[in-house]
Amino acid sequence: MKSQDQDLTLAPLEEDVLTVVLGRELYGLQIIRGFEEVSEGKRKIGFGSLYPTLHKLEKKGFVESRWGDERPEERSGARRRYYRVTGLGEQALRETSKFRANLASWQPVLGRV
Amino acid sequence: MEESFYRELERDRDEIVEVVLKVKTSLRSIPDQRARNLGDELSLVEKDLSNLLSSSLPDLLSTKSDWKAQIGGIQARLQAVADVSMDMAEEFAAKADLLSHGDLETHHWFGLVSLFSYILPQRAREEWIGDLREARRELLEAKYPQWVVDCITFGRLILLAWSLLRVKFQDLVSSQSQRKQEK
Repeated sequence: MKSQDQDLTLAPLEEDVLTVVLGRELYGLQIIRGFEEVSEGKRKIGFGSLYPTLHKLEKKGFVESRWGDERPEERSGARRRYYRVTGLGEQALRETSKFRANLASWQPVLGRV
Repeated sequence: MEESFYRELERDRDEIVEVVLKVKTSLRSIPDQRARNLGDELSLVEKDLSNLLSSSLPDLLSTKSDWKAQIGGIQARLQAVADVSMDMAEEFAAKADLLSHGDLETHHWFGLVSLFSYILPQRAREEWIGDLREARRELLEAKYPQWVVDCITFGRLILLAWSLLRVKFQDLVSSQSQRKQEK
């Protein structure tokens, strides 16, 4: 639910992370892989940016997370934390797309500073 | 005639029993559903062998050619199980080897990782260090040299420390702004 003064602005990296998680449930490494695979290695999100971004998105209420049930051997039994986009997150993405579309269609008025 | 047939029968039986025992021992060391399925298949082979040998000697002699075909079938099934179990044992040994190399606890900079884990909040400890371990394992599976994997893991550990600082800073800023709003 959107509150009246809810800030729906997204930083570019936040928008990218929300987009990759949108419509699915992913854990940290899958998000990193998503960036690498889609951009063919040209755009990356590393361990230094991913978790602070997810933390920020979660605090803003744009994503929510849960522990996975599995305890994989390759993680020495540590559970995975799965993230998914909330309704508010979807709304923030829509607002950002709308803003970009408005920016692209904006025409400067001649003579006005 | 009877004696030579009986010797042949005993020899075949002993060979089969020996292979069955070897395969069983090998399968016991593999904690895998596929190994359990192979174990079941092996039990069927044993049962068929036991049924075949339960016939009396005159019966066996009278159906000698049929018996040969049946024991050949049992041997072929056993060989198939043995081949698959050997592949599985090799695969499992390679996996165990990879795990022992990939596990940070067995590594020489375990102290650094455990010290870092200690300063992380509980949730981040499980999530971040778990992801770090999984990523390290992927690099080892991709056959990168050990020293490259160590360097990358060390770099990621530094980045996680940086992440922790950023998260703490975010929390500080948001709590400050919340306090201001409350005032």
